[in-house]
Amino acid sequence: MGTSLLILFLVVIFCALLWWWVGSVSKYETERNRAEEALRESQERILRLINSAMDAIIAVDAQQRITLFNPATERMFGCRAAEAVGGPLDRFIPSRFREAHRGHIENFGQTGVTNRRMGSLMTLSGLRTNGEEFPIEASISQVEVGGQKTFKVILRDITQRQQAERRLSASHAVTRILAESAALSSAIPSVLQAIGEGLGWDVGDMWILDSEPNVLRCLNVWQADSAQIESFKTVSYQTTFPPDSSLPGRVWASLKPAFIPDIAKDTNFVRTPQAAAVGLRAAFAFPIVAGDKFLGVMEFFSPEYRPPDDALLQMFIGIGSQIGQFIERKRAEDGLQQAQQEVQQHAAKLEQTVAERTARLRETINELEAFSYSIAHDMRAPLRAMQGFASILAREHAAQLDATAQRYLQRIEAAAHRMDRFIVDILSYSKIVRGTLDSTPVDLEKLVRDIVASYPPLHDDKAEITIDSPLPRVLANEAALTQVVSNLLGNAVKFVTPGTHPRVRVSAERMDGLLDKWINAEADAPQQSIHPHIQQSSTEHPRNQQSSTGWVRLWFEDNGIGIPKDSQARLFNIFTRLNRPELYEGTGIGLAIVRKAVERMGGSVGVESEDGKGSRFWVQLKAAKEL
Amino acid sequence: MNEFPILLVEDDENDVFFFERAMKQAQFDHPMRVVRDGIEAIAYLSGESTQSNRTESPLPCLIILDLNLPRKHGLEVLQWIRARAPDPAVPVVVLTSSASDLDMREAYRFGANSYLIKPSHPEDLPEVVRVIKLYWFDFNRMPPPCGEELLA
Repeated sequence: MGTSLLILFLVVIFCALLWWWVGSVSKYETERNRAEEALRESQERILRLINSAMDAIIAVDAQQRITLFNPATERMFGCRAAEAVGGPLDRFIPSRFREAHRGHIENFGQTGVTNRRMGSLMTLSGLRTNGEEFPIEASISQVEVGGQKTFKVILRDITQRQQAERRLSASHAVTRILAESAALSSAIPSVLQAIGEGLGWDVGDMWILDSEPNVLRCLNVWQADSAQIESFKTVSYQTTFPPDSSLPGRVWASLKPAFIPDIAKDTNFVRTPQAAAVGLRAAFAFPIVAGDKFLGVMEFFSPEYRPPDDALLQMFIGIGSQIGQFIERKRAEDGLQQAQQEVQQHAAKLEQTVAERTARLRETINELEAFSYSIAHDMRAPLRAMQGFASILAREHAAQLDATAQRYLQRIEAAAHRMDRFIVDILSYSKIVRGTLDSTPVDLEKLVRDIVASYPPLHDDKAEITIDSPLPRVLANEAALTQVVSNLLGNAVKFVTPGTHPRVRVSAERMDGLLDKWINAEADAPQQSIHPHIQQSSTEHPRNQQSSTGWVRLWFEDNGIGIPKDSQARLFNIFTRLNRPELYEGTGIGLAIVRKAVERMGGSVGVESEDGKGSRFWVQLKAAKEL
Repeated sequence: MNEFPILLVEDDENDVFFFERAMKQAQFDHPMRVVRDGIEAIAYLSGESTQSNRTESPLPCLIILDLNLPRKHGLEVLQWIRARAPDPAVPVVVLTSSASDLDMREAYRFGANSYLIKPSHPEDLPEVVRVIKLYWFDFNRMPPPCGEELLA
C-alpha cells in the first residue's frame, strides 16, 4: 500500500511536472510565434516604407554588391531591381568616379568615419542606364549583421533643384551685370556670357532693332571657349532679319520667347546650314523689351538636343524686360551725355571763337592806338610848325605884308587851330574808349563849380550859369566826368543864336529805386525803349558795381538853338555835326565823348529838346553815399 | 650859372628852331648842343662822335630829350644814360608831344627827372623854357658833370 501510494504519488508528481512542462513549452511556442509575427510585420512595414520612399535607397554588402534596390532607385537609374540586385554598385557610378568611390567605401567600412566629402566629391554624379549622368545628393550609413557589414545609401536626384539654382543664379548675375555696367557695349557681352555659362548654352547672341530699315541686326555673339562657330558668327553678323523671319524675327513678331529643340527640323530658321556646320542643335530666344517698346532679341544655342522648357522661357520674359529697361536707360543717359558733350563742345568752340575774335580785335585796337599815337605826334609836329611860323610872320613881319596877305595868314592860323582841336578831341575820345575808368565817389557840386571857374566861356561876363545846389555825390571817374560836364556846358553856351546871352541851369534829380526797375525792364525788352541812347546804354549797366543808393540824373538846361527831333537819334554819334561850321565851330566829337564816357561809367545820357526852344541834356549816374 | 651846355635831343628841325627862339625870348642865354636822333645822342654823350674832343663836345649839365626819335627811341637813350653814360646822374627833362600815361610812367621809371609836354602852340614855348630856366638853373642846384669838376 505504501509502495502503491508512493508510486501513485510519484505518478501524480510526474503528471504534474509533465503538465507544467507541456504548458511551459506551449507558452514559449506561442510567444515565439508572436515574436516572429511581429518581426515579419515590422520587416514588411520597413519594406513597404522602403518601396514607397521618394528617395532612392540602396543597400550594398561589403563586396559592393547590391542587396536592396527600391522602386525609387529603379526609376532614378532606369533599371529594374531584379537586374540590379546581386550586381555591383559600380554600374551606377560614372566610370571616372568608380575607383575613388570604392576606396572611400572601404575606408568608411574600416574606420566608420564618414564625412561630407562623400556627398560633395564622389557621389556628385550618378549614371543612368541610358548613359545620362545626373547630380545626386547621398547619405550613407553602415550596419554590421553577423560579422557582415552592410552599407545603406539614400540618394536624391537633385537635377531639378540644381537647375533651379543655376537659373536663379544666372538671373542674379544678369541683374548684377546690368546694375554695374556703365555702357551697353560692355554689358551685353557680359550678359550673354553669364546666361550661356550659367545655364550651359554654348553660343549666345544679341540682335538689336535697327529702326531705319526696320530690321534686326546682330550686335554681339558670345561663344563658350569650346565652341568653334566662326562661319555661324560671320553669317549672323552679315544677316538682318525683318519681323517673322527666322528665330529672331519670330520673337520680334510675337514678342514672346521661343524654343527650337532641334534647328534641323525647324522650317523657319535661316541660318540652318551654318548652325549645322558648327554643330548647333537646340536654340531659344526671348524678346528684349522696355514696356511696350521692342528693342531686340537675345538667342542661345546648344550643340545638344534640348526638350522644350517652358519654365526657362518664362524666366527669360523677366530677364528680357530687365535688359530692355537697361538699354533704354543707357540710351537715355548716352543721349543726355552726348547732348551735354555737344553743348560743351559748342561752348568751347564759341569760347575759342570769341577768344580769337577778341584777340584779333585787340590787335586791331592796338594798331589803331599806335595809329592815333602817331597822329598825335607826327601830325601835331608839322601843325605846330605851321602855327608857329604863321604867328611869327603875323607878329614880326606884319609890316611887310599887305592886308590880303595878313588875312590869308589869319586863315592859315585858324585852320591850323581847328586841325589841332580836332586831333586833341580824337585823342580824348580814344582815351575814353580804351582807358580804364575806375569809379569813386565824386562831389558833383565841386566838380561843376571848378569847371565853371576854370573855363572862360562860362564866366559871368560870357554866360549865366545857375547851379541848383546842393548837387549830390555820384559814383564816377572824376577825369572822365570832368570832360563830360565840360563838353556839355561848353556846348550849352556855344550853341545859342548870335547875340543871345547864354543861360544854363544845372540841376540834379534822384531816381531812387523806381528807375532801377525801369532800367532792368528796359534791359529785358530793349525794343520798348523810349530813347535810343538809353536803349544802347542800359545793357551796359554793371548791376553790382559798388554799394549805391539808386541813380542820379544831372540836368543841363540851356536857352540855345535846340535840336530838331529827327536829329536827336544821331546826336551822340561821333562826327555828327548838325550846324554849318561857319556858324558853330566844332569837331563833332564832343557829345560822342560824353556818351562813351558815361556809358563806360555804367550810366546813360539823353536829351529833351525842340528846334529853337533850348535843350535839356541829362546824364544819369549811380548815386554815391552822401557824407 | 655853370658853363656846361644843355643837350637838346630833337629830330624836328622846326622844334629846334622854336626852342632856340623860345630861349632867346625867355632871355635864357646858355650854351646848347643839339643832336638829331638817339644814336647821335649816345655818340655825343659817350664821346664817340666826330666831335669827340670833350672841349668841343663837353658833357651837358642838363639833357632835354624828345621821346619819338629816329634810330633809337628816347626811352632807350634814357635807359642808356642811366646805365652806361659817363655821367649817369645827369638831369634829364623829357619834352615830348606824347601825353600817353604809358610813356610818362616808363620815362619816370627809367629815370627821367621831369616830363614836359610840348605846348600845342609854339607861342607858348617860351613860357616852358622860362620854367626850365627858373627851375633847373635859378633854383635847383646840380653838381658839374662827373669827371668835369676840375674843369669847373
